[in-house]
Amino acid sequence: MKLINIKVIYFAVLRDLTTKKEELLSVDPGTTPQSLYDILQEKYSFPDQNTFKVAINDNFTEWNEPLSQHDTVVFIPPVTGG
Amino acid sequence: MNNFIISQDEIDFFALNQQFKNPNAGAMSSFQGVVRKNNLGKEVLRLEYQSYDQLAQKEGGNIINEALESFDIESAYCMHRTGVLEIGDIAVAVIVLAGHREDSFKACRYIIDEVKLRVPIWKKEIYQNGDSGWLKGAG
Repeated sequence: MKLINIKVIYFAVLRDLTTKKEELLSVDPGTTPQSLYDILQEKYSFPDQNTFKVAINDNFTEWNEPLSQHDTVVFIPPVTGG
Repeated sequence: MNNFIISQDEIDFFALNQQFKNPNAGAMSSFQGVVRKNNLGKEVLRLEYQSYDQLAQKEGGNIINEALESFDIESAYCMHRTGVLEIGDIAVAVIVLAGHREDSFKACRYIIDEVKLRVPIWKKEIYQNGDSGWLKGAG
């Protein structure tokens, strides 16, 4: 099973926890934002994501959308602009 | 012209106002969000804003377009700062031009409310006592 290569960009609390702006990852085909978040949560002690949104390639998307080769994923904590 | 801008530079509200002249507009409503020195009982030293620029500009643009469709206005504009801001700095500015005041007020309110709710920008507070933290948001 060939792994797919993706990029994850981190903002706000997630950037502080990872101490990274972004990272390249190789993940199993069929990986979704949800399953990816679960892996990263384990690794970086991320908070629960039930109030978060997620974007793939700069578009809001669903947590169960399968990732494709070269996708860019951004997890979006509750926004606090203004 | 893009009517929703993310800026790392200081917002010059007077200069912004001067940019927007329209002979059809009898009303101009504006809003400024300004960094204040306390929140939830803590003394704030400064703020740091981070933005997911690509999606913030897209979603901000959507909000401006919704305002243009929903209200009887001539034009609308919003600028949001990122980076480190000091007390008194302008974090966000909204300007709406309309024929009459009622819809200019309504559209201005709509834009700032939706920006705070939907645009992926985050605020970290740095406190006098050395602590800091990302605000949790409404969830």
